[in-house]
Amino acid sequence: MSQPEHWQEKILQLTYEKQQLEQFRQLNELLSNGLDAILSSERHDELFTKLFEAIIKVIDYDSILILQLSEDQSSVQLLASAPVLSATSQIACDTASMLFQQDLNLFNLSMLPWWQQNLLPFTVGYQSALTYPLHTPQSSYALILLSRRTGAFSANSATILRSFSTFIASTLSQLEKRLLVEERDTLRAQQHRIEQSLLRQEKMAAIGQLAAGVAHELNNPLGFIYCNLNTLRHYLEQYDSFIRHSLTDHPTLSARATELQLDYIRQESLDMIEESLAGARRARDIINNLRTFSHPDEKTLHDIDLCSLLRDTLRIAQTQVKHNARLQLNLPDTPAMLRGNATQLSQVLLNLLMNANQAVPAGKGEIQLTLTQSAAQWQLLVADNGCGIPQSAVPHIFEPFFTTKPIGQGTGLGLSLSRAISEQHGGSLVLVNTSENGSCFELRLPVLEGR
Amino acid sequence: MFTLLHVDASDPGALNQNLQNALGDGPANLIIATGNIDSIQALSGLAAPASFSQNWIGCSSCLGGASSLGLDQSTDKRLTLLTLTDPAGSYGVASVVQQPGSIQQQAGETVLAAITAAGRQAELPALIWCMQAPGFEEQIIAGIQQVVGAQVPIFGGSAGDNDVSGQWCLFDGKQVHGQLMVIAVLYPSVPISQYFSSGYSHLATCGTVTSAATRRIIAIDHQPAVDVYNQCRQQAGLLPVGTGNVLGQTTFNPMGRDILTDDLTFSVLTHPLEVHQDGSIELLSDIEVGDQLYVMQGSKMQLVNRAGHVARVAANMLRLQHDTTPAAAIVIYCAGCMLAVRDEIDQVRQSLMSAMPDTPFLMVFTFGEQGCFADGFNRHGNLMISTVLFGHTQQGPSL
Repeated sequence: MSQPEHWQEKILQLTYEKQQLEQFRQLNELLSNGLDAILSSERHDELFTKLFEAIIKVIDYDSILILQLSEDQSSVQLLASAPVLSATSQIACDTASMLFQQDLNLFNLSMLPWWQQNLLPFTVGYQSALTYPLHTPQSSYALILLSRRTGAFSANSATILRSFSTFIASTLSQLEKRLLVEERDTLRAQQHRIEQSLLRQEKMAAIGQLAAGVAHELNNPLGFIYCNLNTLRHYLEQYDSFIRHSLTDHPTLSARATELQLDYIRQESLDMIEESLAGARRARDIINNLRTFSHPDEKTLHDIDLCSLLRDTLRIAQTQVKHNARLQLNLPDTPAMLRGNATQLSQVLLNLLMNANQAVPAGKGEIQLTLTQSAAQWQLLVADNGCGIPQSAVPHIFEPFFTTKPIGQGTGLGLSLSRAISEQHGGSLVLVNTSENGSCFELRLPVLEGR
Repeated sequence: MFTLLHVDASDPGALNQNLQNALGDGPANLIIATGNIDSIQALSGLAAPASFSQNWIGCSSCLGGASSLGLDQSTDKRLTLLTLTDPAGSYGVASVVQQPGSIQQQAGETVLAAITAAGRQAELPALIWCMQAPGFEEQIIAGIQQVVGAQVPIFGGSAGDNDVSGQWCLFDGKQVHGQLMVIAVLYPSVPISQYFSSGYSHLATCGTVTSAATRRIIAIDHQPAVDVYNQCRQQAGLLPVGTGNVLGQTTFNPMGRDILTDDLTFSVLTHPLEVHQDGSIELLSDIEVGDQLYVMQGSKMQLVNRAGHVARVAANMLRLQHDTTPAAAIVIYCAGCMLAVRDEIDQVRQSLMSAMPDTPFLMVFTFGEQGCFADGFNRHGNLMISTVLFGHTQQGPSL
């Protein structure tokens, strides 16, 4: 062989070998970039985005997705994709199970009825696919690279993907670990809240008993005060009448009366008695409310006027709300009668009010309660101008022990108990809307039959 | 898994018995067959070829085939068979009698039929192996690629006869026919590698094709093609060619077209078959107006050493990519080259045995070669040598 021939042939051979070695370089690059992706990603979606970016540097694809096999192996769900796909519903996997068993280099997807039947929502518009099954201790996945060209993926691409598969499986395993850790933390937080709730309930039970005792003890002296004040007012009126007649009959006493400021004393005494009576009435109402709330296990049902119940509850809430928000109560002119347990329904109303109060801006809150009759139900809308509920939290707000408040500042039971109570009364409790401009809850309760 | 057989094909009864003896353990997944025309014709006498394998692909080899077991003579009635028994893999063969004018469509349909026969619907094979009657190879490659894309290596060769008289024949497991296109799709459980090369170098610039018709150059630089070609030959100190069959005279100095890739240039050879009275040159591969032609230079020594070199490159790929060594090989060696080194052909065989020690291989001498070039494109060429290697069962490294 002549020297030029020899060198030309050598160049050809080295070029060919270089292409093969390039494959290893690409794989190394993939591993390196993939590792960076794992180490630098805080969120799952970010991790997948970086991983997909690493893969496209070495394998040319138009779309990539990871499908996850359900625990009972009956369906598959989209875990991640680039570009992001909106198809998130589960699909049956009876025939698609092949994806989770072997790697496939498919040159024309339209030739596969099982693919068209099961996977079209994810792959419409794509001609060819390179797939690889991934298995972790927790689950099975299928990595799918798609192209709009027929037979787009070479055996080299398949080899690179195969070589990279263990790495991707490890990444998914890491992801599962993170999810388990998050789940564990959530459970721990829930446990903490349950313990706190139990503690609080014990305290509340003790306070309730104490309140019941105090209310009982206070009720009798308060009765004396109230009764005596009324009698005293009557006596004072008698005195007043006598003084006025005496002054008419004996004008000489006028100077002495003026000197003693009897007019002033008389008016002041009447005002003081009226104020004392008002205070006594208020004290009586507070004691009555305390007695109502100190019987949490009471299950008896009575005919209740929801308007009165709302007013009573507002009175209790007022101490916390009055400096924070303005309360607007829109009630019907006639009593809103229903059959229910006043204690439990008060708890529901108080809960909705307190939640609204905590959501509104301090000092600038607006809480509106509107009660109307809608067919055979009372509809109470509790609307506030607060910060709203995050969209991610909306699906969970009625779950027991779910709360957006920091640990120690909420039991996470309020809304779940409220919904349970309203449903026990044949009604419902729903979130009507929420946004950054506020939230609105709707409580529905059946109108008392016969009305 | 791979068995290389030399089978007496002198009569159908003996052939049948020999095959039964050799394949007593059960049918093979694929049988690749070669031999001279008479030997391939003998396959039509098999009562039930499918009992030996559902998938047969075979073609006649110029003057007979060769293998690691030995070299056929034109008078031998002996078949060389490479059987693949690979239950973990999948294989399918389909064929059609070529209909000029519909070749591309036929090729597409045939490769799909082969894939269906393999039971791997829509799955890209690791290798497509084709054997066909000479004449339409470019259209066959185009037809296959239209269906499966351009990422799968297509290798194979066109059937040869002893004197380019058109006596070649092919076997698809059902019939022996002179105009068959037989396509096999391979999904082996073992790794494969392949290399396709010529090894000729430029001798002189010939000119640009200004008039052509499929496989005939009518004019180069607006002059009769043979005049320009002979002028170049004479300038290089070679004798001019006359009219008539020129295959033998042009084996060491065929024409070449340069293929430009990102970082290298290599030549696809086209072998002049016949010079016509009108000064046009008939070729064994397609040519297009605008192609830049060169007169290429080869040598006997080069052709002798070439096959072993090609096998060495392929074996190197197998080692680099899959960390394994060859378990079996199929070698395609241009019949024109073989005729030019007929006296030294056993040295060619020895060079292959040296490059692939203890590896059974089957070697076909063909009238046109198909393969995947270093730039990753599948092409048809002349005076080419290719090797497809099957590795030992070993999975690639998984990271």
